[in-house]
Amino acid sequence: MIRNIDERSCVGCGICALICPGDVIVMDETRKARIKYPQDCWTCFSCEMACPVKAIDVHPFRKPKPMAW
Amino acid sequence: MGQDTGVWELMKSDVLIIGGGFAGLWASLRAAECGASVILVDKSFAGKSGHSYFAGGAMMVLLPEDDLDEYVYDIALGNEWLVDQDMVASVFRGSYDRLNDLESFGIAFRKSGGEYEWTKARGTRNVKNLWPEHATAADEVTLLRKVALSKDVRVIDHVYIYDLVKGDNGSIAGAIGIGVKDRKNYLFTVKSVIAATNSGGYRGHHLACELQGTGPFMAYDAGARIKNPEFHYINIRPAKHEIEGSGILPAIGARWTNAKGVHYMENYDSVLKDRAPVSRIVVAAAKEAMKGNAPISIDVEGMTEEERERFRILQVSHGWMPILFEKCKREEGYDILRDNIEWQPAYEANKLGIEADVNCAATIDGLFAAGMARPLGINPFTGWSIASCTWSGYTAGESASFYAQNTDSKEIDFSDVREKTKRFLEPLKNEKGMDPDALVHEMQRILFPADVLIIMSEPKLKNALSRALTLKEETLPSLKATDIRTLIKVKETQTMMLSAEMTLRASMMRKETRENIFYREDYNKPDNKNWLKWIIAEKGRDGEIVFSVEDIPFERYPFKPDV
Repeated sequence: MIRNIDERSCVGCGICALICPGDVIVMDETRKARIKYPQDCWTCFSCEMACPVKAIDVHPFRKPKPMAW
Repeated sequence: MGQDTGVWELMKSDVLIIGGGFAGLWASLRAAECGASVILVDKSFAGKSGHSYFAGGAMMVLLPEDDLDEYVYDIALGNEWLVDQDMVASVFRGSYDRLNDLESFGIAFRKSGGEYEWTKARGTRNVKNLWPEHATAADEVTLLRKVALSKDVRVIDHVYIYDLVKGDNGSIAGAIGIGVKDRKNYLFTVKSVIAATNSGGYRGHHLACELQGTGPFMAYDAGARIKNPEFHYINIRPAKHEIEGSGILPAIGARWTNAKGVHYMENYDSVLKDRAPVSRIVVAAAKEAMKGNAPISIDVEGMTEEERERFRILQVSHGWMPILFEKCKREEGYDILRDNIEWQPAYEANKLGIEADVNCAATIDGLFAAGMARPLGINPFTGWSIASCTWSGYTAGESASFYAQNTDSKEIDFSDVREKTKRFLEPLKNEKGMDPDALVHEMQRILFPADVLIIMSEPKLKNALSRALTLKEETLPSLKATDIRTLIKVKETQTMMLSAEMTLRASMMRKETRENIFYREDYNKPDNKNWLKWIIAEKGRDGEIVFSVEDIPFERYPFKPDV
């Protein structure tokens, strides 16, 4: 699940907010990317891979869900 | 008209395509090539959302030296005869041309000495999988988006389509959507629509979070027939995170193991063992768990260094897998290729879809279906998804383009638009209802236990249906939406509920087992006498689901099973 966007590194390009398939990230009024809906993160790493300044950190574990056993 | 959420954007084209994965992008560029004006809409970002972006990249291809009949036979057999053989033949006939198209767009496929390198698709005797060089499916769909744009396809991102609209003659004439980010209402007036969404699901597999079945189920609402409602794609994954290549690990040396350290797969498939089709792997894991032998793992500790290196080259050399491997090691203290971790079944997708012919035309005039939104067989062979989504996208694009160019403009029924918009916005008025995410969680608790949809039986299916219907009656009508985002989630939850009801009822109807695709503990043998048939679901006049059973037309197919 998405864990952090480093505010100081973020250059405000908006790519992460544009491509996030779960629409988890928004650009705030200061043109910084902000994690708005972490519970909807797919843990797909798309934002982390796309960020030009490596400001985004996604943890490999996803949100827990009911299991088969 | 629907001013609650602001302004309306009215858009016109010949063809509207819903969904921007492999099928939708192929459909869009082919429809444009054939002369139609084309709009492609994606609820996220076309070319980066959906299932395609996360596929491994393998694609089944019939090379010029290969025999079509051998390919059709393998796929028919792997689907235990319940697949449209005309469609399978059509997928492979065009596959080499599409490979050439991809190469002309700039995707190189692995070659050695001038010949394509290939692997044999798991569960087949003859079918070849080709692999893109230094690329994943993500690179391919990203490129297809660029090609579509270069052919003047108008791509509209971040718009969620929630209903189809009919014209005055009853044919499909458009669609209504809402902007995920701009919150505007969108009305598309077109001559033909291609549903190129995925099938559906219950957010069980985290790289399939987006699959809720909006595409097939809005077609169902408009009167389309739904085929294969009883089948699912349930995969098996690490319990806490994603991994790509779960099918490849056992193929190159890892073995399924239980808590007692027993490599149990030979008890379930004495021939293929750990390389058995995914459905058998999942059923076997569930049986082991029910015997008290959980947790289940892939035993990687016994792999050789060569085997590990092979997996790294195939799967951990590109995309997100290297990040995942590195963080699991650094932060969680284990190496995915050295330490055994728990694996669990993960519900990936329904296998139901909008019934469509070999031209990808649905049973309603003006509607076409491509990708997982239409039935593409049941067995999720590696390489089949990309091959069949490519074929159906290309075919639907061509069919919808020609249809549109030979059809007069259609008049939209605006009272229909008003009614559907009003219904969609209704949950904004519910102040005290349940949150849609909470209801999805309740549905997951009903559907995910192994003895419901993995090892099926009538009593358990009945019990799950009864619990689902209680939620449908008591909780679903009052689901609460506080903004556009939750409004979309309410629509998705309504769709998931309909899908759950349909699938549970249909699973009870099929009283047999086909081990590669469907497992009923109470009817544990295939029944070729009574069940070489397809189940079809349609919306009845009173709004209830009406099921029928259809014979498979073996008289015109090249292959048939022994009865």
